[in-house]
Amino acid sequence: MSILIDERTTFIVQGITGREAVNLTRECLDYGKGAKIVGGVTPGRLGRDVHGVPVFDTVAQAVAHHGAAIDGSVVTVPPAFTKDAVFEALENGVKLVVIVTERIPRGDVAQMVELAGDRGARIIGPNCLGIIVPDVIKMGGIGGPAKDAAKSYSSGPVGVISRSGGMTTEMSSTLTAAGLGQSTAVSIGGDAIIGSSYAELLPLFEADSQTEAIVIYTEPGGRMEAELARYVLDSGSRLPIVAFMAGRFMDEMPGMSFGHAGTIVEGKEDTASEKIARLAEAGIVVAEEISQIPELVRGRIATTV
Amino acid sequence: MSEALFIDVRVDEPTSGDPGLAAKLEEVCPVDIFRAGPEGVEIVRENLDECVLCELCINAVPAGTIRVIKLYAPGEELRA
Repeated sequence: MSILIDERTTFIVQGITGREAVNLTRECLDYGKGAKIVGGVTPGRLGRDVHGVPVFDTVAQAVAHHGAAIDGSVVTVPPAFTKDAVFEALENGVKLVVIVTERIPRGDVAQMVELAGDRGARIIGPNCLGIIVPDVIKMGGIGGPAKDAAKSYSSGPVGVISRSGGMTTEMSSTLTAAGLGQSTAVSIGGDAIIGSSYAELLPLFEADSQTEAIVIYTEPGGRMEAELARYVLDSGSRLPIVAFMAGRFMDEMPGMSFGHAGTIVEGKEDTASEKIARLAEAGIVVAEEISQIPELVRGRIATTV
Repeated sequence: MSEALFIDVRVDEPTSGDPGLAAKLEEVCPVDIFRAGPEGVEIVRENLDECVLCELCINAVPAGTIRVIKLYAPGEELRA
């Protein structure tokens, strides 16, 4: 099992003719059982192909060519055009949108998240690397080229959620090296406003029988961890959670900026120590070093079995 | 009239002069939209577009004291 995507998931790549998207498409096609990328969209490029994936001018054309609803879209278009691209995907029935693009105007992100909610769809990102189900499928640039992703990620019982794309792979690689595979890893994005938070994804992991524990990467600042702690306390979650928090030094350096956009703008009073205490109250253990994560996870799984 | 593009903020008039309320709002807002001034709550208009929709201001004060108007969704307000 997995969350969000599996081997049957179909998706398109919007902005597929861009350099990053061309590479991302290759990586996804090569990884695991091979992603079902049923089309790409770049206005004015109808009739071309990228690694054998047909390119269309519009999402509607891609849906018509596929002959059925398309599950997802990876959006890689420039910031100024991202809102239109996401709206187009949502209006054409796409239910999962992974937004890779960063530096999207905040008002645009808020509108995209609102429309997704209205359409019963989910947004991952912006400013994220996507989703990976080890050995099966990846949707986005997460893990890099297929052969590298295959080294870092392995199938297993740990769900991974991270504000940092690179740290998603770093933590998963550490788990893999210790013999702990992952059920699904999700790079949720580092911007101030994102489509899916820890607490919004946790119920999906709860419902996934493969997942026995969760590892999250977090940073000082922001309210997502408090939201997660509240969810865990209120729901009585079955899943033990291990967190790794970067930027602890910020407590000793008031005014210091660290990490992603969400952290920089929200880091006023949410210090690392306060956040760790809040997580601890909900039973979430915080690793001081990445290398501690596997043993903490193993110990927590053992006590819940 | 606000020049903000993203959100606008309204403070309930009868309570906006409360220094305790002003101090609380200044403390909780991570992007400095509120300032505690001599007349109570002051809105720092140049920071309105920095809002991250965290709802901390709404949650920190009695219901109805603060209204966050979504300029990107006409007619709608942020709800805690």
